[in-house]
Order: sequence, then C-alpha cells, then structure tokens
Amino acid sequence: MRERPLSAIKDLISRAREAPLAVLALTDEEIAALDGDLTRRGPVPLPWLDDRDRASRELACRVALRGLAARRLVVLAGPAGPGGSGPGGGDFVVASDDLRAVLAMRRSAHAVVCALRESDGQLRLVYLGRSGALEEAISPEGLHDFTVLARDAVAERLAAFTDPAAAAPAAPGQDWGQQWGRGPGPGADSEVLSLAEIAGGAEITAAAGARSVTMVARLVFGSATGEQRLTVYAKEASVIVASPADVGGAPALRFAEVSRSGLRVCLADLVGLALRLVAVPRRRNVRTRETARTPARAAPARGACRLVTAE
Amino acid sequence: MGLVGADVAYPVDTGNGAIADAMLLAAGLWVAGDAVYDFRQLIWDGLRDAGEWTWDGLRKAGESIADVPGEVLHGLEHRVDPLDW
Repeated sequence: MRERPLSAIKDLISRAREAPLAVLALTDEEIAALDGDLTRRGPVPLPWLDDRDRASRELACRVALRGLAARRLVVLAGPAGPGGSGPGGGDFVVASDDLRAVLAMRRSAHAVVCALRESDGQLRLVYLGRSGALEEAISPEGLHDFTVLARDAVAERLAAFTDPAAAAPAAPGQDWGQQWGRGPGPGADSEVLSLAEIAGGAEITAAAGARSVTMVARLVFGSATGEQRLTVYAKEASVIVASPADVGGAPALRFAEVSRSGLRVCLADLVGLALRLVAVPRRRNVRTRETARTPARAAPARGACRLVTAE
Repeated sequence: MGLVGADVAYPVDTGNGAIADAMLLAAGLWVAGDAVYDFRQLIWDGLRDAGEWTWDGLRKAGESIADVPGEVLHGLEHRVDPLDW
C-alpha cells in the first residue's frame, strides 16, 4: 500500500523539476472532509471553517465531499453518512493520483517549515522530503493552494514570501547572509541585543519601519534539535533577519541586514539543515513543551476513508 | 478571528504604513524561543512604561504569536509517518 502513494509523489516531483508545479487548491472544508474526523481537529489552521459552529462545519464538510466527488477527486462508497443524509457523508476513496500524492506528502514529510506572515495573515507550510517539497499556502479566507517544488526551489519561494515587495537590495555588498551558519557574522552589520537589555528598555532600531514581518520556523521530525527560528522584517528598501544569538552565555537577539541573495542563503540554510538531518532515526511519541498542549492523534488508515462527525 | 485563531487587531502605524513597534518587538522576541520564557515577565515589566509601547498592546502581540508556528509544527509531528520521497 505504501508503493502507490510513493510512486504518485515521485511523479509529481519529477513534473516539478523545471518549475514549481501548482497541483490543486482545496478549501478548509474539503481539507477537513479528507482528513476524515471532524471531532479531532488537526494542527493545520482552517481559518474559515473554525469560524463556523459545529453543525455548520459538519454540513460544510458533507457538501465539500459531494463537491470533491463531482470533480471526480474522490469516489463515494459504502453506506450513507451519519444520520443517513445521503451521499454527502460516509466512506470515500481518493480517486485522483495527484490528490492522493498531495495528501500523502502532507503526512509523510521528514521536516516541515512554517512561515507565518503576521502583517497579512498569510501562512506557508512547506513539507520537506529528500528530493522535493510540497508547499501549502493558506489564506486567511481558508483556501489551501498546493504547489510541488524541486528541493532547490524551496529557499527562493520562501524568500519571495518573506520579502513580498522585493525590498532586499540585489547587490550583495557586505552580506551577513553569506556567512549564515558559519559563525556570528560581521558585527558591524548586525545589532545584537540581549534579552536582559531588551527588558531594560533597549530599542530595536534595526526593525523599525518594517512593512511586513514573517516568522519562519522549521522542525525535523524525529530529531532532538528542536525548532530553528528566524524572523524576517521587510522594510521599504531593505530586509532584516532576526535570529537567536548568544552573548556570553546569555540569550540574545541578532538583527542583520541581508541582500536578496543573502536572504535566500539564510532560508536555504534553514531548509538545507533540515534535509541534512533527515537521516536521524525517528523517535516516536516525543512530547515537548509545545506538544504537551497538542493531543496526539492516531494516523488514519490509508485507502478508504470515512468522514466522522460529532454525534 | 485571525488565521490561527488569535483575535488580535494588528498594530499598524497608519501614518507611514509601517508595523507598530509592539509587533516588531514581539516577532523579534519569538526567535529567542524557550529563552524568552525565562525572561518574559522581566521583559514585560521592563517595557510596561517604555516609550510608545503599551503594556497591553505588547502583551497581546507577544502572546498571540508566541507559539503559533510551534503549535503547528509539533502538531504535525504527531501525524507524520515519513516516506522516502
């Protein structure tokens, strides 16, 4: 059963080798219906659906499933759904290879990058594999656009997302991003503030005047490295990257200006580090401070699925 | 309601279109990760009366973004079964 989704995934990645491949777009309710269990919300934001009450969510998901069936993306099978409401609920089988591959990539990545652009509420999730990646772009209206990327296209996509107005200068100049991951970088171009200094009222001048701010985090599943984080401030004509720093053992923040290529290097390193770490054996059932607040969920069976609603 | 469930009015300086200082600081503090938790109260206390930041504005901005990407990432961690692709 693992071979079929794997071959469909590899087919998508091969089609995305030359350019990003926009595969399909789904709505919140379609995602929830395909996830199959409305009583246990997954971690991916569903902003439109979450604003509805329970009865409306159930109805929306049943309608969504009918829509997916009408588009021949799923085949409804078996008995009618809860309450005997007809073909909108109940068992279904994913019929489209592309949709099956997208769903499998969401559930079988080695690492994930999450980029939240706070200034307009746009979210990007990038599911990373060894040979490619799946980008899920989530709008505040609850639309999920799926694009398959070649591995070396991920950093460019993230750079465009974090710097939407292309404010970073093209000329590399003194570029801290080029030294990313190889030490503290040139002090002259960066501002380092300890948390104690910030607590004392020190102003972060480097971030002033930002037009958009994006928080980027990545997590390698099964590794003990924890999250790696960056914040990208896009200003009118420059881009600042903030990262954690260490000043004599004290936690601190570093703010450094980067060029367009430097921003790409920073993000490529974040992604590349994840890809280098995918060989780390997976540890299951690791619960961190964050996960302790998120209930564990059993993986659904592959193949036939069922839309489960609250009784 | 925001994208990730936080109902926060986004602090924007309408004069020049720039994002307000409270958000910028909160987003910067976010990269410090767990270290912020040790300093959080100190930071909030230190900035309570500082400059144009308001205590409530900074606290709301900070709390709204503190764990969102982490919650998503670690939530996904429980759902994955890596395949070799």
